[in-house]
Amino acid sequence: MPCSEVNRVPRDRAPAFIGSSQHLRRGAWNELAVAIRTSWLSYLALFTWLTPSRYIATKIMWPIEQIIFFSLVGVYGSTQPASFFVIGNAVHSMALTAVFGVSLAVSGERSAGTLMYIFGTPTSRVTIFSARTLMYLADALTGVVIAFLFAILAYHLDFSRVNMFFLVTALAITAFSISGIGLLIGSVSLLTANVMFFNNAVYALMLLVCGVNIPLENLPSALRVVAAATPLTHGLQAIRTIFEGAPAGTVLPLLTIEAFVGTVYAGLGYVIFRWLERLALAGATLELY
Amino acid sequence: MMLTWWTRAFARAFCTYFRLQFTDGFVLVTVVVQPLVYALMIAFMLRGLPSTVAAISAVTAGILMSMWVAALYRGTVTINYERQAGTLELLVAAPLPFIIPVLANVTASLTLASSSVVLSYGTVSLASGGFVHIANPLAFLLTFALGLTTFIATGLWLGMLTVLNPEIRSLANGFELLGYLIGAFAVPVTLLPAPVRLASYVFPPYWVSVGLRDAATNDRFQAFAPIWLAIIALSACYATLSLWMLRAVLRQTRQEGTLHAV
Repeated sequence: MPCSEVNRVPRDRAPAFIGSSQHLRRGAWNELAVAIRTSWLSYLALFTWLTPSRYIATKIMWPIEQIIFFSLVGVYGSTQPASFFVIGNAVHSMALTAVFGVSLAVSGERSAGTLMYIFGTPTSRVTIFSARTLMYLADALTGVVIAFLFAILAYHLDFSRVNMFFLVTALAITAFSISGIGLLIGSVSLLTANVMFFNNAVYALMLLVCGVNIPLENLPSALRVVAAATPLTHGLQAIRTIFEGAPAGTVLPLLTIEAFVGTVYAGLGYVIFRWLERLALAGATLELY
Repeated sequence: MMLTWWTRAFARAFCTYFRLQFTDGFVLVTVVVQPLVYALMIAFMLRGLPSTVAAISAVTAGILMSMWVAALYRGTVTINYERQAGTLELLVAAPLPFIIPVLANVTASLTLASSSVVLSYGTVSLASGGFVHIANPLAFLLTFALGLTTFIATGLWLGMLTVLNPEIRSLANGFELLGYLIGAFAVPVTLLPAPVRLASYVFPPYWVSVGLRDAATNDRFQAFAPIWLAIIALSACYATLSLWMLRAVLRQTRQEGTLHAV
């Protein structure tokens, strides 16, 4: 074989000059591949400790019992129809994955002792962060489908006026938005080992202020301000209007606000993560928060 | 002599476990914060009812949710916690009945949950703009005290159940809201379907729920006798069952040497 043949590098493996369009294109593909791989692995890592019974308890029993319990209380004591509580609690059940799953995926690095490798990796933090949420978003949507199926069977929830495209879009945006708060808690949990405190507190507070069981207009004004700045509130409002057969003009503004709120929380999570990273590297206190 | 020794061991274990809870964010949020938020939410949700009924239902729900969560989560993790820490063998080998540290652990958790009486009452009173009226405060407190023992018995029973069958521990999350439902913590039991009602009658927290709610409207002590009797009888049943199950667990582990891997 002539020397020229031995030294020839295949075109797809040839080095690209840094900054060239080829380099940027390949970098973007690499980042995407890393994101998908990270997402899948972090999802598996969270659920490896789960037995099927724990998954059933958390992802099926809990949302169904939540719908039954709060619908019962609501129908007994308020003037709202059962569908109000059924829709609210079914959508809120996404927080089980989008808050708990996402925050534990981030904080899990610390408890597993892999945080130093995350800080040492050349992958973009945006890639790492967004990858964390991908599978949880899908899982959150699966959860809400289960909840809606139960609602159809047990409460005859009416989908006749629902535009399915709007509904799926609204659910996806709401799941994204809730996962923003999950990312923020995940980052804050790098400061404390008690991540479950924040997770459970946020889960309960969302139930109280986001219009899940109490119409927003019945809340005290202070809580309404909190509600406006909390993920789920506007998404849930949008979903309720979709069930009433509302046009895009009514739904879109609410979904835009929901996406904005979620982005702010995710952005805050990112900033805090980077800040802690700098502190940790400067003080060599990576595992000592 | 022996009794004094056991009492000292219980007191020491109780104090240690009680302090330990304040370092655990999960315990603090599920036993203290979450029931308060739920009580407040229920107070808002029941605004269609007469204010006295809504307020006492919210207070009762807050108290019972806190105690149920404490009994459920502490009961289901207490022995496994020692197992994970590697201290289970030492506890079993110690010259005192194994039930004493377990009992101390569950009691410590429920003592923390007892703060929900003040917290729920205070929060709901603030939200409803005045003190929640309780017609028979003494009956309310007596029912609560009996309720404390019944929750301890239920927690012990759950603890033994999870050691005998670890799958049940995995389902603990699913039992939390199930307990709220079967115990009729926030709604009258008549709203539940008939088969669920049958389960309620053998679920000790249900009787505590009935007693606490009745204390708000009924000032005759005679009316509480059947409720208190039910609480005492069910507590005794669950405690006896727990002790019997504990003996089975210890016998099994000693014979098969599976203390670390039941």
